[in-house]
Amino acid sequence: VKVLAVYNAKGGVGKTSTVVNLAFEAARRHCRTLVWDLDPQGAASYYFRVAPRLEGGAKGLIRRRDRVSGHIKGTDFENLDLLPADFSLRNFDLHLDRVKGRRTRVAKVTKLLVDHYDLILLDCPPQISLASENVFAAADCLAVPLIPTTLSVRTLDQLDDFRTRTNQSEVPLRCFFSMVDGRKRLHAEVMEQLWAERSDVLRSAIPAATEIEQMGVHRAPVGVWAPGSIAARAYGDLWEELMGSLRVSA
Amino acid sequence: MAEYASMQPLLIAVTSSVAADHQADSAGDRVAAIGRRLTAELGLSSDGRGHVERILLDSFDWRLYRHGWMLEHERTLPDGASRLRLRPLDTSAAIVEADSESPPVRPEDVADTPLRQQLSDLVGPRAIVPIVAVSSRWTRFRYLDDEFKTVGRVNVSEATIAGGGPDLGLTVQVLPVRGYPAEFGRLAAAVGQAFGTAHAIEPLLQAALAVGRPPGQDPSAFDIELPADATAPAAIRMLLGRVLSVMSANEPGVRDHLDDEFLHDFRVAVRRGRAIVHLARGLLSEPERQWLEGELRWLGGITSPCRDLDVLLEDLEAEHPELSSREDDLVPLLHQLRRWRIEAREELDRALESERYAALLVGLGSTAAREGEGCGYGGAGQVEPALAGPVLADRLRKVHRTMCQRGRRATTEEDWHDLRKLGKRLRYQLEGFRSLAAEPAAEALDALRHLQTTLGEAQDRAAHAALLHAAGLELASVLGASTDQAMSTDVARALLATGGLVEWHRRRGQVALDAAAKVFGRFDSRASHRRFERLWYALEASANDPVPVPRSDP
Repeated sequence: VKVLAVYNAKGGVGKTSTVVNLAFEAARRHCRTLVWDLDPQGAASYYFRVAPRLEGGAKGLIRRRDRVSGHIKGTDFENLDLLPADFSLRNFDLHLDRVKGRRTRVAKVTKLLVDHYDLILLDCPPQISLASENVFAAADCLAVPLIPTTLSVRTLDQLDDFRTRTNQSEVPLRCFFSMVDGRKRLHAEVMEQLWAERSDVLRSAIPAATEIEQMGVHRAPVGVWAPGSIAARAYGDLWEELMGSLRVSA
Repeated sequence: MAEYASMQPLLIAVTSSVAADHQADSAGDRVAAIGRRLTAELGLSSDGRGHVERILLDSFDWRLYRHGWMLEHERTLPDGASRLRLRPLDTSAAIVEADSESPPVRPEDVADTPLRQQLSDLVGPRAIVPIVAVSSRWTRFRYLDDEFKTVGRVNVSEATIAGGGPDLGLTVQVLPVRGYPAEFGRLAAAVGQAFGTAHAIEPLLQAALAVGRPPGQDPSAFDIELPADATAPAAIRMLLGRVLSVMSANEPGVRDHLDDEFLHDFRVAVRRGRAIVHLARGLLSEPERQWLEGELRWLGGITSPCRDLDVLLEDLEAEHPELSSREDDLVPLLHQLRRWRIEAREELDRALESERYAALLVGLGSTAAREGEGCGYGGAGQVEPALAGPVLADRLRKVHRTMCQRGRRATTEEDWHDLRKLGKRLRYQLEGFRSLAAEPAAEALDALRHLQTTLGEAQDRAAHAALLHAAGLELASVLGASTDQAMSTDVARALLATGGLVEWHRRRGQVALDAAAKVFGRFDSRASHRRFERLWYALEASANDPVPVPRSDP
């Protein structure tokens, strides 16, 4: 896997914290890793202390993709770079709609970068749109964080439908539970149900942990300042299982 | 990636005056003291310290370095975590790395990663050997911006050659963080102001220099620069000294069977030695010359079976589209040839352990090191030492003339084989003395190489056919003695395939022989003779002030 998109049309499910922590896990294992922050809110950029600003904005990025390497910033961590967000990404769909090959613009950018990185992680905004289609076209795998609730399961069904309608269902999908509260019976039931029904749901689960909420305070992955915490270990396990399952399926 | 590539890391050797302030400290303390200065004067933030052991790896002939790469095996202490890292000598390409418990000997020893493929492409058939090991203590610092984001890095380290070698000094390395060129510039300037701007060499490469392995310099290269005023005996002595050093450099690799190229280079050095000794009639004492010639012939003869089998096995193991259907049939043949190679290697090992070989090295060494113009050619009948160029021009001209006469008369396979040997000897002799007349020598060597390629092909095919024929006879005797039905079938198949191979090599050899007369015709052409005449003229004139050399083309 070269391009891994962390995606869910629903917001607040832990996409960005997953991207930041998985990227850290990858870089720690000597994988040359790039995070592309596609979310105009720029939370991943914030966690890595990089200003969410692209010279020429989102429009410049898709029209002059040959200049993409000039936008990349190193982070505090070796082997881990960031392509920062920009507020103009809120109009990403509009910019994409005005260019030729509007469904494959993101893929064209990632193609320029794959030789320089072992892994490119896409932090996607919560929407189903032209930008999402671009992400699906670029990704070698979609990682979908799910809060174990009925609404989340419904969102997953919607994603399956959308991928089928847009002929993009061949990209491997791996779901995992996020913000899991072990005290809630509903969470346990939904998890059991999905594990029974679908083979693409990973066993690793990210707990609803204070450390993850505190990432905004520390502005760093959990593994940096709370390496022994349950949350840090959960991201480590998720990385191992995710990579293991993709190696097997490949 | 051009923007990032333009930000080259800056490696500064801490000037002796700064280092002297901390002379009494231990290595770790000196690094810490420099670190304290960085924190206090430049406001850098500490980012850990450690101890690391690094081994510089490359092929014996520096194939990685010559392609712009550096391979290092790194072990961090005390945890012992080990990595293998291939990094470009500049920042034009990305670093490739993989986990590796111990330094690899071959690319296949590396885990199945892009690094393995890249190493395989770069080193080819050569083994990966350790060049030098360095032990370093380091402290790392970050240069932070207003958001406390790392925008530059500084490493302070002090390295020593492992195993009690000398100190390589303190270095301060300023590393860019991608996307922050202005901050890197400011940091580099500040560090330069604090510690001087004496650029340092990467400690591993510096260590290689210190142990007498200059990076990129092939120890087997026969690129000796003879002074224009060297006398003929002195030139012979210098060349024999180089022969000895190439043999000695390759000998451990031959003994350990690291890769086939060690034996190849060792054998070429022995042949060069023979060619030079052959030319030294009257320049060395005759008993000494004859003894050296005999001993080098003996050693060359011992290396032949092993080298022939190396080449044949490499040929058989390579992909041959025309032979692929017989791949399985060849297994018994390959076993037989590998058995022979083991026996040939054992014989070679015994020879390298023998007193006779030790005496040859001593003899070569003493001939090479002997003072005085006559190289021991003293006493009654001593000749006046002459300058190398004119003497060699005269002698090499005769070899060339003999070659041309024999070539004109050559009709049989044997004739062409003799011509090839004579041509090879002339080539080795010319290569030894080429520094005296670089450009004309290169032209003459080109002409010789063209002839050698065709004659060499004929000889290689004949040698392969003979070896395969002998192996076939051995397989036939196995077949005759076997009572095992399955084994008999395998051997019979191998025999049939071997017969096919013998025929194939003979046909290819015949094609080369058929072309030999035509190729020799070009070598014996008027234009080619003009090239050689130009060379003889240049050699004769080499001892004088620069003399215009006539052009070979009218």
